[in-house]
Amino acid sequence: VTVAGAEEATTGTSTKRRSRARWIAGFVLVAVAALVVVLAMRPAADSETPASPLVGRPAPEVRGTALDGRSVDLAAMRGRWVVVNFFATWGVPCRQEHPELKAYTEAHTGPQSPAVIAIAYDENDIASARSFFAQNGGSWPVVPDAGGHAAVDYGVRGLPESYVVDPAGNIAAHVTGKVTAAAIEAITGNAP
Amino acid sequence: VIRRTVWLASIAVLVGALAFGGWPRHDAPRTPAQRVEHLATIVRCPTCSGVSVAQSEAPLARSARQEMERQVAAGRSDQDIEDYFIARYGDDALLTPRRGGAVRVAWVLPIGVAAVAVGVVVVGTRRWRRGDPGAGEADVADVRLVEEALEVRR
Repeated sequence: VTVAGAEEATTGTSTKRRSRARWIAGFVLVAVAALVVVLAMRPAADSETPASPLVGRPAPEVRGTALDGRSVDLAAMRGRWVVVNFFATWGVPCRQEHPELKAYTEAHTGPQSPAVIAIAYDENDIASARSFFAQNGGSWPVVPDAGGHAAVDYGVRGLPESYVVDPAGNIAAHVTGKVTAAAIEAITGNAP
Repeated sequence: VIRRTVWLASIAVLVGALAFGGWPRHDAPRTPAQRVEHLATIVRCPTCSGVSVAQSEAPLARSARQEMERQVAAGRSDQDIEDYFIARYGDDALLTPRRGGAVRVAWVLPIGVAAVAVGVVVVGTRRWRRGDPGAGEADVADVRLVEEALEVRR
């Protein structure tokens, strides 16, 4: 062992250490950059409406007596497209979508045509719903939701929300907010 | 010896606390009211942001609570009721994700890393106190090397 040899060995070791440190620093830098990019590209949690896990699954039961006395049973409507619409008359978008639902039901009047069932979420809003339909028209049944059971059963997060049920009884689509006749037609494939 | 005992006790407490936090607990409340209260604290309010059903007075939170009461009265287990909400509101139906799979890894991994880090610190401290055993005793070649270096300086 000589001084020169020792110096060479020392220099070699420190070069290796430096190289390793550079590699580690580079790896950490790349990992942090990747994390920043992923977080930056992710939409803010509040701006996201999570997709309903019920889409593609059998629609939960809707059964009851409508405000006009009709019996309503979603299970008995197999073979038809059905729009299950959750609403309350105090919601502005709920009032705004009413003409759209009215236009949709007026365009589909056959016995096997697509139908709409409205669910009045707020039990304290029933009288108001009755007078709202009397004033604005609308022939589809309005079923009161006792205790909000149906709303929770469908995973409703806000009003209005609509679930389009296919003829097999599965939920084909979930529409949050104001629904339009055109959107329903697009989902049902313009079913007659 | 006392220091080492203190160190080992601290490590045991740390690892034990982390492991306890990450392990599922089976201390489910027993009365129906307590069960509903418990469920209301873990299920997310459907319409609010980041609060539980218990913390919210929103109509849909009240409906969710009524649904819990109805299902508890119907004899469904806490697990069944949690599954019910997850099936309707997705995985984020619960404020705290279920402890399983990736979540278990997320708990266990830091425990492992912390244990390794503590081990490295303990071993490093010991070596530092004793003098680096890696350096070992100077052999004949080392002594000669130092002497040569000193001669060069002279």
